[in-house]
Formats: sequence, structure tokens, C-alpha cells
Amino acid sequence: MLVTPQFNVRTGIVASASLLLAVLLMQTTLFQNLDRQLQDVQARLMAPTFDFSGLLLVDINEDSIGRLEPELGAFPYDRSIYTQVTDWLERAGVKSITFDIVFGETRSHQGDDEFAGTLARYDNIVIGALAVEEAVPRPTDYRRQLDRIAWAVPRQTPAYNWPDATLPRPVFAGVGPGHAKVGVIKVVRDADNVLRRAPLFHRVYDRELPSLPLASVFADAKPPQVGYDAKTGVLSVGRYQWQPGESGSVRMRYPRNTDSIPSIPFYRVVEASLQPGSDPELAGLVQGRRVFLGSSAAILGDYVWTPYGQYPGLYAVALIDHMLEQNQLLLPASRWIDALLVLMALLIPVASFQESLQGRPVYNLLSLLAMATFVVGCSSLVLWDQHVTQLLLPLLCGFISFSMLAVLRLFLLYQEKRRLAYEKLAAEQAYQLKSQFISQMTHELRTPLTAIIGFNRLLGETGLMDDVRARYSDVVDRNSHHLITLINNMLDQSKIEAGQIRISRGPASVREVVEDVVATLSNIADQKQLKLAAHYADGIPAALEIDAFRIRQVLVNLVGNALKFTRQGQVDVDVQWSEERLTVAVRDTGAGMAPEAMERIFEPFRQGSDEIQQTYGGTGLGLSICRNLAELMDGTLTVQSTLGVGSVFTFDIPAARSEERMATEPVRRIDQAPKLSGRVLLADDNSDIRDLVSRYLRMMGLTVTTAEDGGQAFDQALRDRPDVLLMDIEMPVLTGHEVIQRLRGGGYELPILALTAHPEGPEIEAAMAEGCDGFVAKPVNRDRLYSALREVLRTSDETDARVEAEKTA
Amino acid sequence: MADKVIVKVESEIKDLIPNFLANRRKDIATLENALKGSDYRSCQDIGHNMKGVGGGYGFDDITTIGIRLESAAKNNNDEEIAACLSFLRDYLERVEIVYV
Repeated sequence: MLVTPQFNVRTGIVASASLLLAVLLMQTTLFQNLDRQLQDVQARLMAPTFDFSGLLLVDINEDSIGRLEPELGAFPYDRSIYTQVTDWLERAGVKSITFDIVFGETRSHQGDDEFAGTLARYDNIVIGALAVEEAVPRPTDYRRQLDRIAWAVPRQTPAYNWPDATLPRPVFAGVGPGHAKVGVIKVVRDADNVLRRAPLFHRVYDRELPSLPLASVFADAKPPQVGYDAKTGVLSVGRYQWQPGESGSVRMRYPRNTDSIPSIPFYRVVEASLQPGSDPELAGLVQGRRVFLGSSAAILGDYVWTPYGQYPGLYAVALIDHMLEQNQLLLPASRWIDALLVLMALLIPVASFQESLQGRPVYNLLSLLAMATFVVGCSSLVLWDQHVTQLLLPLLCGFISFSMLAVLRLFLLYQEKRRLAYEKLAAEQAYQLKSQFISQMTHELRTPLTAIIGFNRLLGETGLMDDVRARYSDVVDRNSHHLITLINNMLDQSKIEAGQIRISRGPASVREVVEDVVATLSNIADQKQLKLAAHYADGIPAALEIDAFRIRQVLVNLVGNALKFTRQGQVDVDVQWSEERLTVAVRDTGAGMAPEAMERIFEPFRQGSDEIQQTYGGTGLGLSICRNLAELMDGTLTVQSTLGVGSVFTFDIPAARSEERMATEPVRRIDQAPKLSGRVLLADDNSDIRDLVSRYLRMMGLTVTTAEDGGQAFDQALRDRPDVLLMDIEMPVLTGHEVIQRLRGGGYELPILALTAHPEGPEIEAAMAEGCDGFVAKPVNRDRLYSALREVLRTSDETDARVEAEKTA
Repeated sequence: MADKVIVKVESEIKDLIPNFLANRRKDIATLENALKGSDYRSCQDIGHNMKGVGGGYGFDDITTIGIRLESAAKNNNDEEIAACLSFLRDYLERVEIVYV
């Protein structure tokens, strides 16, 4: 999957950028609020149900305040009522009583004394102190009081620091070691005012006091041993071990049933305490429970916001007490889990955008869903274990990386769309050009064909004069050749487009090739009264390694064009060779071309201009083929032209001097070459050729029969079925072409080699197209003859081996 | 006129040479007649033949003559044909074969 380096680089960049962006966003308030709320929702969905059967709230609610006002007056009450209530509760067998009340100043002397006595009598009571934000002048015995109620806590223990705290007043004698405890009432809210953390210790004037809920956990016990291991962050308080977070607070794990903490109105307890035995049900209820006594009255404004809604502070105290006791707290998950979540959140979208899945966009969206599911799922699993992971951070990372990749993909698709639109346009243009070409070509083909048909019919008439007949025949001849040239051009163009043309270099004399071209076209030059001449520079080797066939094709085209487009003057062919490069320049004194036309003429199916098209005809293929051939030979074909003066077409290719002797050199001993085996039918009307070639063939180990004309060749081929038919192209009765056509047309499959005096001409092209398997040039060279036969025949050793194999098979 | 033209011929085809030379002399005669009768077609055919045959036997110059003759005949160039004819005559007298 993650294989290509390009993919890895892209992955790396996207992942890093997403992470960076997410971490930057982490610093904003919006993120933090959203993160908290998200985690609240998650916690809510996984919230446990607590069993509050060990708790009881005694609530001085509005109802109670109203009811008790006639008797007790307005709240806050004289301390005597607390004495009464405490006594009753203790007799009913409560486990502990925690006053969520700060007795911060003296009331009635009597009431306070009574209460002090109560506090001294029982050892399971906790009363409240209040941490304050500002130092306040305190009386002289303040420090002593603080010392008495403070807990022994190691110095390095994390705690909330306060400049001051309001301690219970008057200084109740019964508060201190062995008696009632004091816990600090102070709610610490998050930035969004929601209570999620519960402090454990508060530090004031270098003394540590427990929070009220913590004190109430130990209400009915001695102040516990407190230890703190800074390395592991474990705080041990008595038999409990917690891992506090910032400032020594713990994270609360809210249940789903906060509002089902049992609660009874204060007045009921008061009434029961006034008449002991009057409410046995109540007595039964309070027995064995931790009682939290406080007020939820709205006028006191003592309420907290929790993720579940607004609750009176009294509830919060009881809840925290329960959480501490039952270890229902949330801890941060290990950094590895957070890292894993972030990594997977980054990589899941990345994986879905990799190449092989770049099919339907729905997969990408699904990946986003998968990422979210994975993150939330893992996080919730971990939460089940009471550990909290980063939630918004990985989700944000995943979303950002998804967005970046989606945008990238859209951009790439847009580019692709533009490219396809362009290609469509190009294809349409090419199609149009091709259609134009086909219609032009059809016209071009029809023209010579019409001449051939017409003049051939004329030739059929009797009583023609010899010179008239010769003229007609010449027209047919010319047009036939023109037709084949056109067709060959088309074939070549297709082959070039299909990449099928191969350059085969061999030793050849460039002088011979040029002379041949000049000779071929001299007729046309004479007809138009133009001078056509070739000029050779010094130092041209006798033989060069070149593809003579293709070079001839190019030069015929260039010189032919030069003659075609020149009305008067001359065409010169300049040949030179230096530093292993052959340069042939065809110069004419024609009309010349404008610069725009100079490049256009090399495009397939294009002429210099439409006027040229109409004036001179042609399919516009020749020059494009020539240039392609030049390039296939690792060379160039360029043009320079001046309007009104003329043009020069320069054909320049690398051409090494040939080490081999020329093809016509007969002295080469190939006696060492392995003998061939087979029967050859040799057909040629020239007896000298027949004698020579038969001799060569026999020297190679072959058996030879001969035929003198096409008719004999045809009959004998069918009758004797020779292993090779070696046949002259120009023969009487039936020409080589006709023999080939008839044989192949009748299903003859054996090899046919053509003997030809024009190995570079259109005839051999046609012969090959008709079904020849190869050709041998005349004058016949023994090596070439051998090579050509070797292609289609086995050596005698191979034949023997085959025969042996067949015998044993 | 007295200079000899040395032609190297493979000894394996030694026995074909007399026939070959005889045919060439026949060609000369035919050519003469064709030229007289302005039968350019025949001239062309002879030239074509010579072109295809000469080199094979080792007589490069016959191939060269053949090319010239064929081209001359195509252009109906009497002068050129006559020149080829005389060269051919001369050549056949001067040629000396060395078998290798």
C-alpha cells in the first residue's frame, strides 16, 4: 500500500501539516470548549449508575426554611438546632455527618457552646472551612487553630494554594485531632464554569487542609497517612491511592443518576429530633449512612454546573465523597494511546486516498466515517476502563488530513479534466485531418487510375501507330508507378505511426544511390526543361553504412518535390561527407516558402498552403515520412527557403565508413558456412543468371530445378512444391508479380524469394506486400544469396537432426 | 587500347565463363541491330539484363555499362547507346580473366 516514494512524501506532508494545524487550534478557547463538551457527551454515554445507598442528604431546602421559620427564625440558624439534629442522627446510628456549612462567625453564646460540646462528643463529624481569594486579617489564635486542624501532608504534594481561608468560628474545642474534622469547601470550575474536577488538598499559610469531601471520606476515622510519589504521581491517602492531575485535583466520573441521591428535607429531621421515636422510618433510613447536611436553597446561590445540569453544592459534596470512596474517578490515558489515536486518525484518510483506491469518492467519505468511528470507539473502550484519551485532537487531525487530501484530489481531477479536454480536442483535430487526408487521397488515387483505365482502353484499339501506342503505354506506365508510390507512402505512414519501420544499415555507395535517383527523375526534369545535376564533394568513401533503400526513398521525395515546385531553372543535389556525417542538400530555384509554411510542410496531411494543395495536388505525406525516416536514422531533415528565390532541403545523418567490401565484389569465400539442404526452383528468363545462380545453389548443397518464364515457374511450383521458389520479378508470359499473386491466392504457403534488379524500388515493395518472404538483388552476390536462403531453409545438419528425431519419435 | 582489364572470377564458376562471354557477344550483335532499327525497347532490355548479370560473374564493368545503356535507351539517346556499344566491344577484347 504505502510503496511509492511520492506517496510517502505526500503522506508525510499531509500528516505533519494536519497535526501542526490541529495542535495550533488546540490552543484556542473554541477547541478547548468543544473538546470538553465532546468528552462530556462521551462520558455521558458511558456513565455508570451509582449505588447511593450509603449516602443521605439532609437538605435545608426552601420548604424547610419556610416551615421552620416560625420556630427557628431566618436561616442561618442558631447553632443549637444543629446540636439537636446531630444528637438525634447519632442516636439513629449514622455513619458520619458532614456539614456543608461554614460556621464562620459566632452566634449565640449558648448555641455555640452546645454545639461545641456536640462536636467534642462525637468523632465522625466534619464541618466546613472556606478558602478565600484574598488575605484577610485574622485573629492571633488563627494560626494555632490552623495547626490543629491541618493534616500531615508531604511538602511536594500537589494542592490548591490559597492566600487565606475562613476557619470555623468560634474555635470549637471539639474540632481537632481525635474529634471533628474540617474540610475546605471550594469548588474549582473549568474555563466553561462546569465542575469536572474535585480538589483534594488546599494549602493555606503553609498548612494543608483536606477538601470537604475528602475529609468526609475519613469522617469516621483518624486523619490518614498521606504519601506522594512525585515520579509516578501516585497520591496515597490512607488506604486509597489516586493519581491527581493539576494542582492535585481528581477528575470526576459522573454517574447517570446524580439526582437519585436520597435526600430528605431538614424540617423532617428537626421534627423527628423534637419528638424522639416519632419517625421510626426516618431513623431506619439514616442508619449506617453518611449524612450530608446543607442547603440547596436558591437564595444562597450555592449550586454548581455539572455536565448533567445544575445541582446544589450539597449534591456535589456527597457525589465527590462517593467517587473518592468508590474510586469512580477518571484518569488520563497513557500518551501512547493518544499518540496511536492521532496517528491512526491521520493515516486512515491517507490510506483511502492512495492510488489504487482512487475510484469512487464514496470510499473517501467512508474513510472519514471509519476514522471517526475508530477514534471514538477506541476512546470509549479506554473510557470504559476509567481512562480519558484525547478525543477532539485526533478527530480534528483526521478531519484536517481528510480535507487536505480531498482538496488535493479535486485539484488533480480538475487538472485531469483539462488534460482530457485538450486531448479530446487534439484527437478531434487528428480525426479531422485524417478525414481530410482520406478524401484527398481518394481523389489522388482516382486521378491516375482514371488515366490508366482510359489509356488502357485506348491501347486496346486496333490499328494504332507505334509511336501513339508507345505514348499511351508510357502514360499507363507513369500513372501506375505514381499510384504505387501513393499507396506505398500511405503504407509507410501507417507503419511509421505504428512504429514498425526499421532501419537496416548495410554497406552501400551513396554515389550509386544518388545517381539512381537522378536517373529515375531525369525524365521529369527534361519534360519541364529543368536542369537536374548531382555534385559530389571530395572525400566521400566508396562505401558507407547506410540504409540505401530508405535514403533513396527520401531523396526521390525531395528531388521529386523540388522538380514539382520549380517552374524554371534547376535542381541541384549536393552530397558531402565529413566527420562521420553524410549531408545531402537538394536545392531548387522554385517559388520559395514563407517561414510559417516551412514548419507546416513537415506535418502529416499538411501542405504548405491550400493554394499549393489545389495547384499541385498530393496528399502531403511525403515530407513527413522523410523527416520521420531521417529521425529514425538519428539524423535531421531541415529546410531553408527564401520567397521568390528558392529552397534548400538538407538531409543530414550519421554515416560511418563501411569496412566491408562493396556488394558487387565477388571474391568472398564462404565455403566454411554450413551447407543448406532442400530443393530450389529457380525461375529467370536470362540463361546467364540461371547458370550462375544454379551453380551457387549447388555449391551451397541444394538441389536445383529451373524455369524460363512465369508460366513454367507457376506450373512447376505447384507440381514440385520446392522448399524455396527463387524467382525473377520481370519475366515473360507471367511476370513475377503475377506468379506470386496466383500462387498465394491459391493457398501456396511455401517460401518465395524474389530476384530483382531494383531492390530499392516500388516493385519489390509490392512484391513483399503480395507475399514474398524476402528478396535477392541483381547482380547476385553469393553471400547475400546464402543469407536470404538461410532465412527460409535449414542447414543439412539441422535437417539430419530433425530426421533423426522423427525416426525416434 | 592495349591496356588489359583484369577481372577476378571465382574458380568454382570457371566452366560457366565461356557461355557467359558468348552471350555477351550475342548481346553486342543484337544491340547493333536494335540501334540501327531504333528499337529502344530491346536496347533497354539488353542493358537491364547486363546490369543484372555482370556483377554476379565478377564483371562489374558490364553492370555499369548495363546501367548506362538502360538509361540511355529510356531516353532514346542514340549517341549514348552507340558509346556503350563501342565500349562493350572494346571491353570484351581487352578483358583478361584471373581465376581465384
